[in-house]
Amino acid sequence: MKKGIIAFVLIIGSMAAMAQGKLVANYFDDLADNEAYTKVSVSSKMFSLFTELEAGSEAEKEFLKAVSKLKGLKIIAADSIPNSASMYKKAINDVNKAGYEELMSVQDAEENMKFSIKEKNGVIEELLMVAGGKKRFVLLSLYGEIDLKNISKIAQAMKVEGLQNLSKLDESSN
Amino acid sequence: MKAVTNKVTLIALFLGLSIQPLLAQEQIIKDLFETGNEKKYAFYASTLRMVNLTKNKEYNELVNGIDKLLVYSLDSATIASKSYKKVADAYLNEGFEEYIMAFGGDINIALIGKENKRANEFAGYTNMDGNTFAFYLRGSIAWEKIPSLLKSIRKEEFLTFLP
Repeated sequence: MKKGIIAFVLIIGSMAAMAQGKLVANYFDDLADNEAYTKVSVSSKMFSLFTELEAGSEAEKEFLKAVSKLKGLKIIAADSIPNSASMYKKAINDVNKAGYEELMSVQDAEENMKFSIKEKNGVIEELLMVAGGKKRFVLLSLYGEIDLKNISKIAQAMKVEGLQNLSKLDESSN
Repeated sequence: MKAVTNKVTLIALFLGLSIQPLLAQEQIIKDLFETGNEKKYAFYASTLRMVNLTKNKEYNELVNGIDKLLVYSLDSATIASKSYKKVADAYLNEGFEEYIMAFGGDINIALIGKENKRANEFAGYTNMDGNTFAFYLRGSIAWEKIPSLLKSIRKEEFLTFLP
């Protein structure tokens, strides 16, 4: 009986882990052969290497600890596509359908951007960013155990255009 | 005398069996890219330290555990056919795990690896300045030294030696 419960928990746990990043993974498959889109995938193995880095300050230690809890990052980006508006609309639609909770949106004349999260028991398991400009489209998924306090620092370190907007979350929480 | 010979044979056999799987992994990249048109570079910890003209300490610590690094500068036919991507599939089939994959547009990067008791192994490909390279690395990399190495590079203490 005990073994059965453990097996059940493991199956549910692995299913939850597989579900993370699934939406972006579908876009990866659909756009695999489309050279207009750059696809980037960073696995948990890569993030685990951060645990081996030497941290100088307390802030660096905290940052590396936050990064080591990440399980993956997937980015799909295009700088010059004619259908960026429809791609943005489709992605936002898919995000809403998949039950993500909106965290923040940024709109200006050049670009629209939306951040959404999936949360479980107070822990953010996935952060999604969808950005759409005149010819630009970005879909990003960061998954694992995400600490909002450190997310803007992670965003700065990753140098992903648009992700720096997350620093506004820090400003609004202060 | 016979006992000693038997012992030596056993040790040689053990060493051979220990090294054989590693050589088999190395052979995968050789089979894929040694066509006669490629440029091949083989580096060892000693040669990697040798190119560190400024004697950067962090760099030496980073490469000290590397047993072997094979780098193939690929020919135009291999690049055009994108057959270098086979290296990722071949090693993933051997139980290697994905670290980073980036493709599409001008970017083509793959880093896959396998950590085990005998030696860590990494393989992949990358494109830089119009050239595409495939690589295989065996040994351990002192990842913890990377931040201090990057700081040194930013301070220009460490001169670039690569073309």
